[in-house]
Amino acid sequence: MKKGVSFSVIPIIALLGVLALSIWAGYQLSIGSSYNKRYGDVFSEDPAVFKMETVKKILEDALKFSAQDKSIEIAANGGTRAETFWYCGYVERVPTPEEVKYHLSESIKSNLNAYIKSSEDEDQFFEIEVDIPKYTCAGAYENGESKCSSRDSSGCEDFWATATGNSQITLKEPNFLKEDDSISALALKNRFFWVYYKLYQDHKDGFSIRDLVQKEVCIPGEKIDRGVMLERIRSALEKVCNYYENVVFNDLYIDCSYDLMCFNEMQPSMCLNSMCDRGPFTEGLCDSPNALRASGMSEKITGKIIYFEGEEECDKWIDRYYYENDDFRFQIRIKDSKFKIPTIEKELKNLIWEINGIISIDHSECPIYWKEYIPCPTTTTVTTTTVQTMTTQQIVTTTGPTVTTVQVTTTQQVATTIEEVTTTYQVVTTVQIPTTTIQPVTTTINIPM
Amino acid sequence: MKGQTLEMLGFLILSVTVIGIIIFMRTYLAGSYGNTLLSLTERQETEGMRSGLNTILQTTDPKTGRKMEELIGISSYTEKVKKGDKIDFGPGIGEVDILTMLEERFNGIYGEGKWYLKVPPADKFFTQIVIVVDTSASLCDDVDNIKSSLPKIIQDLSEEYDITATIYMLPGADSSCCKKTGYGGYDLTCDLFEGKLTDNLQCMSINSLDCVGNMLPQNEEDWGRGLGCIIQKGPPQGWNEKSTKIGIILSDELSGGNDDSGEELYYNMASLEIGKKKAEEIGMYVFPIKTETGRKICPGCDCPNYPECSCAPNICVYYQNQQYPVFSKIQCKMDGILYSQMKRIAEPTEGDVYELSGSGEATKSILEIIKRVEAEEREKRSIKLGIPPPKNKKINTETLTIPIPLIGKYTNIYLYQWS
Repeated sequence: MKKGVSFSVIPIIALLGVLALSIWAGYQLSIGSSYNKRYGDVFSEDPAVFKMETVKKILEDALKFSAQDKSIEIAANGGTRAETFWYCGYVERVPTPEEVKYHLSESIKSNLNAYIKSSEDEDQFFEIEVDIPKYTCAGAYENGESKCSSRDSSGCEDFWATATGNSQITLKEPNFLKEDDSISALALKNRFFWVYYKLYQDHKDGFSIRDLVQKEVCIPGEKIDRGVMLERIRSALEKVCNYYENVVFNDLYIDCSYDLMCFNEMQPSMCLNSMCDRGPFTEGLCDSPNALRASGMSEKITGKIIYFEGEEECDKWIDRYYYENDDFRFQIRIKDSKFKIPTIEKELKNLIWEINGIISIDHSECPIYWKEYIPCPTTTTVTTTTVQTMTTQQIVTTTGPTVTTVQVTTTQQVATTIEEVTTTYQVVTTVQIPTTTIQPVTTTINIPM
Repeated sequence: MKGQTLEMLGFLILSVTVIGIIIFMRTYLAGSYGNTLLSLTERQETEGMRSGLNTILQTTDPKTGRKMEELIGISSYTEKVKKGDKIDFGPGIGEVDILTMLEERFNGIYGEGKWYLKVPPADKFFTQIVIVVDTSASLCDDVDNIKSSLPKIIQDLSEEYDITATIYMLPGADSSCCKKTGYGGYDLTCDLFEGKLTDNLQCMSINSLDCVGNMLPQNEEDWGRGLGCIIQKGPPQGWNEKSTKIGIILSDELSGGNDDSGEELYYNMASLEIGKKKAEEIGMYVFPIKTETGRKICPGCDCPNYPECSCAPNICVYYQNQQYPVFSKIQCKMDGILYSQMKRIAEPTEGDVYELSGSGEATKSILEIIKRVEAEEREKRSIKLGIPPPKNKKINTETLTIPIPLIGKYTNIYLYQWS
């Protein structure tokens, strides 16, 4: 009996052990499932977050390329989206920092939106289904005017670009995810603002290309001819370049060159025919707390027009004087070869700031003169041939040596060499001619000058 | 006995229970763990690869201050696609060999020989195509095919590619046996393309190019000189140095015309050389299309002597005021020489000879040529680093889009990795 009981207890103990094992196994099973569930949840969230981050990185890179490309374009236009003139006649309008930032920002925005537009194409972002709203505002920030105006460019060799649409980027797959669309990127190794601020500050400090050229070209009391004037303009622009290279920048990588794009010797005011005046800057920076306004200069000096009128003797060379304003168009290029910047061109490009101007030189104190030959007013003797015709009724046919008196109509053609006008005179006269011949008669007349 | 039975029953129940639990654990517990483990392993592999790629792409290169993904975009767009190609960032930074730098980083993370990276070019395929057409009568059907099909093909391609094509007609011969339905023949001139031409597809007579000296094509089959003349004078838009230039020749005779001797003569070789030299100078792919010469009925068909012989219907001549299809042993012999001559201009210019067996294949071949060159050019202009993936391995792949400096354009980085 004892033995039987002991044998029957063993399976019961074993059964209890198995039961305990089952409970443990069930517990473990629930843990395994929860791990799986937990990791599963994480797995489905992570790719969504990763994709969203990828989209934002793509947009940031696009913003960076947009800023780099547009910095080259804006600099080439002189600080605005369209080509701008810093000098227009007597008006000097260097774009203000707000103006430059506004145009740069707007251009960056349009570039960035071009990337977004093309992202809407099917499968543009590989396996990422995303809605990116258009950006409505972009900004460009340099490292501060003081850093960018300093002699050393090291504190101003990059700038920040930002963009926002005050909206959200929406990811559709694998999870629905939304994130603020604001992005920023650093445009590196780009001295756009340094070159600009140096030029701007220099102009603010009183340097004016127009003044320098005026001073170089026009020495009060001196009369100059146009050939000399052209040389002096070139020399003045050369001096401007030397000044920029050695005084303003004094940087190993900055080179200045210039072009004289219009100088019309015959029509001095022709260069001003091109539209060079731009309206006042009234736009506000969309991401600036205070929308800054800049107003243009309105000073306008009217040039004096005086022609020297001395007693003019004829048959002599006399001096003519011209006191009117004289215009020429130029372009100064400040090339920064320190860095090459990626643009839409296949090759990387150097930054080139271009200063365009049409300058009016005031000649009121330094007249342009030239010599002019004055011929005397003369009475020209012109020999004319007179052709006589007679009306049939008036012709009297005679025979024999008798002289007959007839009436004839005479047409005289006189060509004046001075006016080159042919005048026809009709003269009716009575002459005596031999009856056998009718000959041309030569007369001399005076043509008034 | 009863106790023994109970014992036996107890052990039986115990055994069944243990077996049941083992099966239960095997099925659910281990299965669940196994799946989790498998999923985790796969996840680790993918994430490991992805994080490796991200680490590399987000790494800033100390020299340029730019991230690697930005540098790849610049490298791809500026077509610095081979290791050793340096991008000049100006004296403030210097020249940078981006791809060598990139390869070192990938080797460091995935191990040498364990990865492959490809970045195809993003911008449109830009090509300028010139098509030199032999204007002898035997080309009537091919020209007709081009006339009816090529304009649409070029129009369709222009949506995808930046493409211009110009058809150049060699100095015209009397092709009056090119039959129009119901009435007389016509010559092969640009007039045939009237109303079909666009900005992308133009037609010009080679004579209008006013080539002189040895560039002046001598006859309707002088395609070697013709090609030389076109290359020298350029298409109506002028040659663009960035374009891929493709020269297509359409003829069934040796350059300068087949001679009765059945041999390739000096003038044939001279004409070919002129075209070849000019094409090599400008880096043009040359694809001669050998149109149907009647080879299928070689040998033995001699039409003038055997008028009943049905020769290739597109070959005809006037002989003693009668129209004959013509085919001879000479042409059988010339067929082989023509092929070898066309090879001689195609091979050094990275082109190929296309042989047509029917009149409707000319345009099809032109389309094939354009697609083929586009694929080759894309391959040439792709960044390729690492070694191509082996076939017998499990390959992990990752694709990432990056923008390039061309505004509004993107390209993809394709990464393949294996262990």
